[in-house]
Amino acid sequence: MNTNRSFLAFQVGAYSLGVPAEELIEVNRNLRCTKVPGSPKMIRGILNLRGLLMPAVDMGAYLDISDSACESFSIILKVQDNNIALMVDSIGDIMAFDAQELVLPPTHLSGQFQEAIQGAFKLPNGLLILLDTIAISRNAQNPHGIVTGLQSLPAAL
Amino acid sequence: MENHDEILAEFILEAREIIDRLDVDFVRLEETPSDQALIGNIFRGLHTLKGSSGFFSLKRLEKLSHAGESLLGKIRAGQAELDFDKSTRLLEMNDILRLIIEGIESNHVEPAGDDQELIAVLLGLSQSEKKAAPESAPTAVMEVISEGLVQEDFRESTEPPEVTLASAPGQEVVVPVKVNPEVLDKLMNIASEMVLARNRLLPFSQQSSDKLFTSAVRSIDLLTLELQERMMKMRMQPIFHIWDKFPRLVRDVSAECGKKVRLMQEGAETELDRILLDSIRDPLIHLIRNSIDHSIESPQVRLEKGKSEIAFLVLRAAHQNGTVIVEVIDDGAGIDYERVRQRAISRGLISVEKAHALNHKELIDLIFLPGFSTRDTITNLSGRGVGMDVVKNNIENIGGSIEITSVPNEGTHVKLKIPLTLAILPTLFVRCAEEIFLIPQNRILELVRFAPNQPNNGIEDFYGTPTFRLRDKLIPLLFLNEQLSLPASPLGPKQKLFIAVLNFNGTLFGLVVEEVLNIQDIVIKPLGELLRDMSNFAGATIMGNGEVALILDIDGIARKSGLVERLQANPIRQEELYVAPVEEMISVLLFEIPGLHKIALPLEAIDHIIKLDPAQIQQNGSREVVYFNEQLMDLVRLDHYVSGGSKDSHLHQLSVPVLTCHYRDRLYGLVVKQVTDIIEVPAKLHELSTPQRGLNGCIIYNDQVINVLDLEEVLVMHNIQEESDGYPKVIDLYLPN
Repeated sequence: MNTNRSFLAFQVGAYSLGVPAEELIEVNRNLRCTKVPGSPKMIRGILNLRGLLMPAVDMGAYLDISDSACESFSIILKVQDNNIALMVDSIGDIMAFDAQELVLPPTHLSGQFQEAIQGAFKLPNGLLILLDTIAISRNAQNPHGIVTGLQSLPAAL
Repeated sequence: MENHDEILAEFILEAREIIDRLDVDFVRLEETPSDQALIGNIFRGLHTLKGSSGFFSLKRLEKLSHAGESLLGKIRAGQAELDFDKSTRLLEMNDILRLIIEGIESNHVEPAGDDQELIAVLLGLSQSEKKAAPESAPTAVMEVISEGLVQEDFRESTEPPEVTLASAPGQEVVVPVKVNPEVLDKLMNIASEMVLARNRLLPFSQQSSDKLFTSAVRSIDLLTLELQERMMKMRMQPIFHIWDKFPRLVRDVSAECGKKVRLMQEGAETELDRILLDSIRDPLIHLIRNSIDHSIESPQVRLEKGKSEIAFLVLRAAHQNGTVIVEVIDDGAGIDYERVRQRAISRGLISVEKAHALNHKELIDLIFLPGFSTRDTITNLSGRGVGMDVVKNNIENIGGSIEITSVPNEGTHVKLKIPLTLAILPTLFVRCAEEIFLIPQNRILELVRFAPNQPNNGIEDFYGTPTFRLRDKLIPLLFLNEQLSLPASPLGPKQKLFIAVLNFNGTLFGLVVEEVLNIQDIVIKPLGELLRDMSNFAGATIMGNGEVALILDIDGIARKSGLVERLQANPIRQEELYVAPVEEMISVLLFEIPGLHKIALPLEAIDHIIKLDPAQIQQNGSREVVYFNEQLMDLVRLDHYVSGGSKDSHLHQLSVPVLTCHYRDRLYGLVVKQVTDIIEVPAKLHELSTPQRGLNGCIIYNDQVINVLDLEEVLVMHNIQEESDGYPKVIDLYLPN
């Protein structure tokens, strides 16, 4: 059975990250986005791609990577009918991996990482961390409702 | 199977149209029972329904429509006459038909139900004229059905000629295409994007010298424009799409209230945006019910009052200045103002004294308060108190307004002003902390400029809420940068800010922004799922340069700021202040100079009043100086610098009154003729239409004009005079420090 899937690789700070290529619409440079006062730091603003409005997510802030600027490149994704733009530092290649080679993340990851990451693929010189785009999309659509870990359980329990 | 579904969907659509049409026609037929064409229409409609339901083997539908058809057949043949009872039954049938269709649409099968009774009644009615028995026994039903079927076969053969007669020969009827509204919206979206793309293209063509390129751009320009206009038109629908339902509504409601009402519709072809159309339907229904239930009297009362037994209810729609005016007019008793007054008092909405001071217009405003109702008992139709406030909110939400006038015993007139379309909204572009935001223009009552860093800026503190005095009204202020948690830009001492005066549920408040840019029509893009937690923004738009700008949600901002709660805790009576404005008073020193009798200076500008012996005056070049308090004091002869002064150069008196003051760290002595008084005067300065030299303006005090000295100007003139021979024509007061 062929379980090969393609991923778009990109860089945020020192990290190599990846998103499923089938969700990719396009990669853009220097799209201007409008700040939304009162939104959390991870939301850079709203940008317009040919009439579609979408939130622009500062991946450096989202993943709490301090040495990133996330200024010039934006990756436009369509995740479950929602468009989002990921602001990243640089764009890499489209890479194919066997999905069965995905290494699941350790369970003790902290904060945003716990929810943000699906796993990692081994690269010759490091790891390609596969992001959970659905979680990014959900958090970007509903920026105040970010819940991590046990807090996500209803208060009644 | 899929094919079948498709045909079924088409059938449901068609059936709905027929049923909607029938509603209108039955009511019309009731008014003009002899209209043969109308009877023919109704009959054909029912017949089509019956035929199609037979095809889909929808038994219930078939039987019911057949029963109705039989009755109509009799009416058409003149064997029976449509009366109130019959049309009620027929309408009842129509309602059940609609229910069945709805059931089929959701479940793809006919909903279960027993219509035998109604069928029996319908068939009974069709027999009653012949048999002269009002209600036929259910046992007769089955017979009648079979009889009806036989008649039906006969009728079907006579049907075709009528149909061909209806459509005139040679006239080809173009069947309208039904389009899914979503597709329309998407097209609309693309069209507006196209406009923006064209906007980006235009500058290039202006720079280019390539003829072919520029002409191509020009044609794109024109085509885009046309595309946009056509798209706009596509969204428009005539108002009769919702009015269609009203004849039936009026009939039912008036029957329930025991009233006789004739509905008249004017301007049913008036077009407006179909989204707006949807949102004015419920308010209109409410207004119609109100009119029939509250305003229109029962037939007996009308006759006693000398009015016609049948009341008129007029629905009127028309275009006016880019808006649509929809009116609901009745000739009933109108609003009972006394009752409204009593209600307001008994509900504690208003004090007794205040209630009696209210005029009719203000009483009408009370009707819009939440929970207000003049009814003691709750009826099916009204009296629940969820009423006019909801209507008003709904209308205002779509950018419209509502206006009620009512004359006792002559009726009520409700006027709705609705914008033509929602998709395009005129907005005011404002800047705050470097960002551009948009305020819907229809929310803005007025724009005011003010300088926050100037004394007398009009800002007062009212229990911790900054308020602005606007023509004797106190307007609470919200600073947009604070509301959005944006950093405040540093302000220069003379920099002015803008206050947009807005209305939030009847409370005026001012939103302070840094700059007002322009007013522009924009295409609204809903934020939808995106950032739905943000109550500060109602939507976004894409500006000409392709960037996104956010539309402020005025209500959201006002609600979030807690302004309303604060105002409720310490109410500012905006209207009361309007009646009794509080005037600010200042103390001024009144004095005379040679030639002018009433001159004043604010007391705070003066250090001392001294008496000076003319012998003490010494010369320093051309200046007159006095050594006073171990300082050299410049003497300023005010009569030299003020319009109307007589320039009396000799000081005759033994002692001269001198007012000492400081200006830019120098001591000056103002030589006057006589100090007369210290008085309290209103601070309001009347500016002079032709500025008078040395005077700021004047104050009216006890009908007397008191001139207010412009100390700064006088002293500047005095200093300039030292260096030049005459006065300069223009004196620039803003000297660099």
